Amino acid sequence: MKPAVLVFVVALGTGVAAQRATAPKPAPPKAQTAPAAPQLEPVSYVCTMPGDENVLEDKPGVCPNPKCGMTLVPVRLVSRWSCASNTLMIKDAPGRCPTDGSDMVRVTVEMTFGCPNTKDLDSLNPGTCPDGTRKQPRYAARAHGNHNPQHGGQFFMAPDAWHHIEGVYLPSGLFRMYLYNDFTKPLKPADARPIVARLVTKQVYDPSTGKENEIEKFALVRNGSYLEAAIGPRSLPVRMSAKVTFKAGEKENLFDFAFEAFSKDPAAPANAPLKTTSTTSAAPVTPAARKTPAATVAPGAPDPSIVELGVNPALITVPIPETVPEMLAQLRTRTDQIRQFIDKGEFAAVYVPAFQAKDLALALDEHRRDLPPAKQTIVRPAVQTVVRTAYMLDAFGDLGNKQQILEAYAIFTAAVKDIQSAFPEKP
Amino acid sequence: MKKVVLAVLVAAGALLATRHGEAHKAVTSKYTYNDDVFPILRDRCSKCHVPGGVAPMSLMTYDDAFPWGESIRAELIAAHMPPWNAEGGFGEIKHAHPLSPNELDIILTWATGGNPRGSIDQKLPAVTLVNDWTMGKPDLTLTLPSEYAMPADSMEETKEFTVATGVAEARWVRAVDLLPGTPAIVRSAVIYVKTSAAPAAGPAPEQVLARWVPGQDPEPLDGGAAFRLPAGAQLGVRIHYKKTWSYESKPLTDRSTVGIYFAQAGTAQEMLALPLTSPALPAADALNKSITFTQNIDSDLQVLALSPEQVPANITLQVQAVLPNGTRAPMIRLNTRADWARRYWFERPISLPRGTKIEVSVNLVDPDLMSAAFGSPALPKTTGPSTLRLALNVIPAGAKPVAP
Repeated sequence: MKPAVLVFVVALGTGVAAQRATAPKPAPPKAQTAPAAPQLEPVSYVCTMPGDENVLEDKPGVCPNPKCGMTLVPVRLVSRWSCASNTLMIKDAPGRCPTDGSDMVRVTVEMTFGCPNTKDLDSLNPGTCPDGTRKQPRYAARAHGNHNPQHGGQFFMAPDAWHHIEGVYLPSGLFRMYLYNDFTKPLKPADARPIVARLVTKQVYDPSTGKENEIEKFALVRNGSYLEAAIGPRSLPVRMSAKVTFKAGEKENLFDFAFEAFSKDPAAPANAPLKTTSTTSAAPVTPAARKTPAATVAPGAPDPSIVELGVNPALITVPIPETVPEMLAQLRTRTDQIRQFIDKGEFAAVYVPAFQAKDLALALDEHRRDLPPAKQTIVRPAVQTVVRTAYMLDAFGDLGNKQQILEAYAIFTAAVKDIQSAFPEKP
Repeated sequence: MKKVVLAVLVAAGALLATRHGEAHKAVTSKYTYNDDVFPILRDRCSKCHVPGGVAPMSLMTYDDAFPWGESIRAELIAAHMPPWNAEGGFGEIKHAHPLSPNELDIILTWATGGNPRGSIDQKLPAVTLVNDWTMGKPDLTLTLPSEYAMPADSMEETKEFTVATGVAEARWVRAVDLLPGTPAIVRSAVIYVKTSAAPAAGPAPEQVLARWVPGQDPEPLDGGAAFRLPAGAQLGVRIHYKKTWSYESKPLTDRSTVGIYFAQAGTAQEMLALPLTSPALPAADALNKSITFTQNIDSDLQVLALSPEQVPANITLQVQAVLPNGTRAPMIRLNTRADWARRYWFERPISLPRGTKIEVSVNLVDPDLMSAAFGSPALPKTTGPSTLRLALNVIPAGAKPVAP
């Protein structure tokens, strides 16, 4: 899940809750006082001890791990808008990136205030520079503050929560897998070196062994800061899976990609180098196959079928309806939307309708007492399961393993059906 | 070897607490610890997650709870916590899942959204461990005959004690409870009447008086059924001791007490146990990981409770009654976990006429999607028993109460 987008969801959710709780009121008269200065986001305190980076306090102190003892570091975390391809471009409001015209995306960043040409005067709070000018805000990315594709592809977090990958399928028929750390920075060579991966474009389930037979697979070979394989141009939509081992001896991780269209890399020409690695149909991936591809760049016009994947913020502006039938209808719609996102491979977007469905289920739960006792016993655990699996879908959506998402979705939909069966369709 | 395994478990727990979090999360939760989360944790979790409790951490202050935010999130999503293994909506079980959907959402939102504290000046009431009889003082208390000293280098032990009840004549018992001497290490207990009777295939007097797990109140039998405590009975008390990481390398002692509550009436129907035993379970690597077995009911019965007596951890098992007219009555669906084997009491007695079939479906696929997805570190795989055994607690339908 993209935390920054969650800020938006929660803000909307709060608004929705307020909307449900109170009748519309006339707007209050405008205050006659001078406009107040924009309120700064609160300061948080974080632990910089490796492994404890997720510690976040709202007051000074020391890291909770007694073996650490480090002093918590003050930071001011804020939600801003950034270019996917250039995280140094931070804006207060959404818009188009000046570099490539793409829509800006929400990111969580650390804000400080500083003066030109020096970092010595950086501070957490606004102030004045020696020349009398006001200090200007500066931003630095935070871990997991940006789960947005950097190259127009599909972005997933590995189960270890440190590695992140992005799969890109270019019109030239090249698949690329970019490798990032938890700050969405390209991996350093030493961190990228142990990674072994292959791309499976066709596999068949073998009921006699209970395993998938990989019919067509490609070694993903290193080429600079990414791994890649030439799989050739294929008719769209197309699905493929990257099977990645981040460290020798560790469990293999599966990332499922579904490309409705070719990816558009804002940072590079769409027609990227065509690698000459041959298709290794049903053949084992060997170190010998991992050769550096030849670079034959052929710039061309952008493919008109290219689309940007991502969350449409409009999807989350859904107030909770007043009546049970309307809630049920919305619940059905959101449940269908989850399925559509899964089918299209937009796993990172699944949480939006999932959380909406969860809020609808909780709203329906408030009407549980109107039902006969036998129906009430169905609704309570079903709503509970919807809540739980909405968060599970959120967690799994980051990982990009379709089978896992489908398993969670199966539990989710069974619970939704229970809710739907318990409430009368008509008032 | 055991120590190594435990170290792995502790490491696994710690890793689960931090591995899939979103570091440096912005605060997005509209719920705060002080105003929203603390009251829920206090009311629902303080029997264990309190200083001196059996849980590995207290959650009773903000400073206690917030470092565990990611772990709380993972445990709630995986349905590991609160430790209630029966799925809702399949059968009706007493004291089902203690968190309401709204409470679950509040904690998950807080755990996911930056763990905000609320007002820093707000003082919350201190919560301390309550280690007392929840049903009031028992009619008979039996302190274990000796103190158990858990060595510094041991993290987990199961010990068997024998306690003489000293009852001169047979008595009906409505509940049995355990008061841990050292709550931090008493992880579970089985209290049973010692007998030399051979295991029966049909309904036989229930010897297991209590399956105690922390945080669970005893279920008093105030209807027509009761456990029979024979004259001069000796009780077996099997206690599973387990240290959390905070007691590692520390020697601890325990001397727990068994509490017996006698039935008020002089007559009752004896609680019986009807075993449900599976054929051999499929091997762990078998393709077909499901089996179904049935047990015929030869007489009219009322079913009050179900106990998983011998089941592997991390499987799903479903029990339903197929009545003579073909109607299926769901009884329970369990996602089993190690350490949480309790007796599940049905909300109402289930009437099963003669000719009913009890159908037990077992699926050996681990239902824990969270552990599978996040590749939780290789926990030791328990191979489990080769057969699976449940017990239904029943009384004959229409039988008259008798003296013990």
